[in-house]
Amino acid sequence: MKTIDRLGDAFEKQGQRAKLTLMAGPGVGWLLTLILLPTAFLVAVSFAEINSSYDVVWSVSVSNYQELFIGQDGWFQTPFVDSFLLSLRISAATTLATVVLAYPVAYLLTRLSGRRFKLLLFAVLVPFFTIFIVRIYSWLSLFGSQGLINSALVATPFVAEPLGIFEYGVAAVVISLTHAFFPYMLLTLYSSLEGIDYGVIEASRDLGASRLEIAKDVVVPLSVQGLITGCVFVFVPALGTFITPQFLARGQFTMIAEVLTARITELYALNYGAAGSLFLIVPTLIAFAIVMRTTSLEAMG
Amino acid sequence: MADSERHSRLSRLVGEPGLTETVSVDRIVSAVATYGMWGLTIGIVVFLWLPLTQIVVLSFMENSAVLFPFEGVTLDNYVALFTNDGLLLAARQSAFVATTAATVATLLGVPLGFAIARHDFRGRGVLRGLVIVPLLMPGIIMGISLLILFRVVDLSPGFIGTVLAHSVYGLPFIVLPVVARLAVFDRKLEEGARDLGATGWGVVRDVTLPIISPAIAAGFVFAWLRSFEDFIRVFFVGGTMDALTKEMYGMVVYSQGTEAMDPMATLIVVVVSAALAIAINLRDILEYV
Repeated sequence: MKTIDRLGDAFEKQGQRAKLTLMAGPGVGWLLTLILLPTAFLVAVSFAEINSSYDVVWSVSVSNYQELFIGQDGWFQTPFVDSFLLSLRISAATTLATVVLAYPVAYLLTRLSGRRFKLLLFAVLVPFFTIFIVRIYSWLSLFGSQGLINSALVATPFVAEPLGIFEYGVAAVVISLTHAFFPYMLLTLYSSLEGIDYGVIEASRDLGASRLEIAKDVVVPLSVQGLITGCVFVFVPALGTFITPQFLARGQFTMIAEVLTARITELYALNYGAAGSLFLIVPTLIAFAIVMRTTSLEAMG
Repeated sequence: MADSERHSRLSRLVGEPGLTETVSVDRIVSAVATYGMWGLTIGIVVFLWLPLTQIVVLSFMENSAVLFPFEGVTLDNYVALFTNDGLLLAARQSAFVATTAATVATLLGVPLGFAIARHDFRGRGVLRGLVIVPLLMPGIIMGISLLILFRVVDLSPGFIGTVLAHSVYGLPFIVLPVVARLAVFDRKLEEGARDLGATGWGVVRDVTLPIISPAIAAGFVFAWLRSFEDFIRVFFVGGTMDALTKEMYGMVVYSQGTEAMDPMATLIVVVVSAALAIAINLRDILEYV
């Protein structure tokens, strides 16, 4: 009898395991072969060379990295370094702008209910269902000295000539990236603010805290996890952005994705591209570590 | 000015006359914060709708590149869209890729979501992290690394490569809502069904899946859209395959046929926002289930 029980348990355990393998296996396989394996290849190719017929020759050389960082005028005088630093700055500015804009809206969303809540949610989400590339094309005719924004401003009595901030350039890229990544920040902030027990806020008010104190000492600390997650989800994708600077920088500067893409499509320099991409993977990994420390998967739906 | 006088002035500004004596800086801050928040939110909504409005308005304009000078209203741009065979073909191809990729992502993602939410196993912590990587990974890295992988295994860039790329890209959009929904799922419903004699699979099919299906549907729509509007991944792994975004990119770079872009985006935003409106309203009904 005992043996049969043990056998039954064993079968059940095996059955559970088989079921689990069947459930998670395909998805895990997908992630391993299409995310982890390619990343490993990317690292390998970054040390490889490309021969004259554009095939990858496996080797261990740091020449790609030298090419990234050592220019004709010395260390760090390369288009890659310039673009990388500029991309970091643009991403940081975009992240800051989305935080500043999304915080009040997210807070307001938590305080609303019923019809107003739905209306506001609808109003902030709909603009993101236009095709991304068409949206950036649309910014193209909004910006510029002849653009709609500047034309409208000049038509008013307050502005004499087109404003520099609405010309093509860094500001245009940051503004349209802020627009593009706003919902990521909004939704993560909203879900963490929504989790705050309003009783805590009322209690601190009863205990004599001013509104500013409540904001500073209660609301912000309690929503800091969502804030960090939101920042990561804006900063990292913004770093690798391609179409936006292509359309809105008008050749004044290039961001890192453009440098790498140009090298790969024009010179078939996959190895250079791979080495350069690794400098986008490092921020991705840091971001990933931060998200894993601060957020639970359940909160991200 | 006496303190009380100043307070009553402030209180009138705040609009709470009954509180003349107790009005304080705090109330002012509060009023400013409330009105400021509404003002800011309205401003942000205007900012968010700026390109959308321009896309929709320009799609009906005679002069489709800029709003001024105003030359009249027309449906010519829609005619241009529906007579642009290259663009339509590319759009169909992209829709086909998006549908296939989102379907694959759903078939893989729903069971994966169940496994993560309901089972405890070794490596679960790592898996929970791995699932969000496609969302975090910049598109250019996914594009370049998959291009290298496909070269190594000798898969020529094209339809299959793009579907593979987009299906893994779409996976988090399915897994995350499923895990989130299962976390708040009332398991008494399943126990009830089991007590009434339903089998394990029967419970999942007849009870669990129907209840979490809005989460899956929302995930599918997001995965579909992200695939449909993706440029950088299909640019690297799409080879010579037609894709809507590649076609549009060429149109902008060579400024040719761009009048068809706004109508296309308008049609999509109408369809998706209608779906969103229904979904937001439907959630009310479904929350009672």
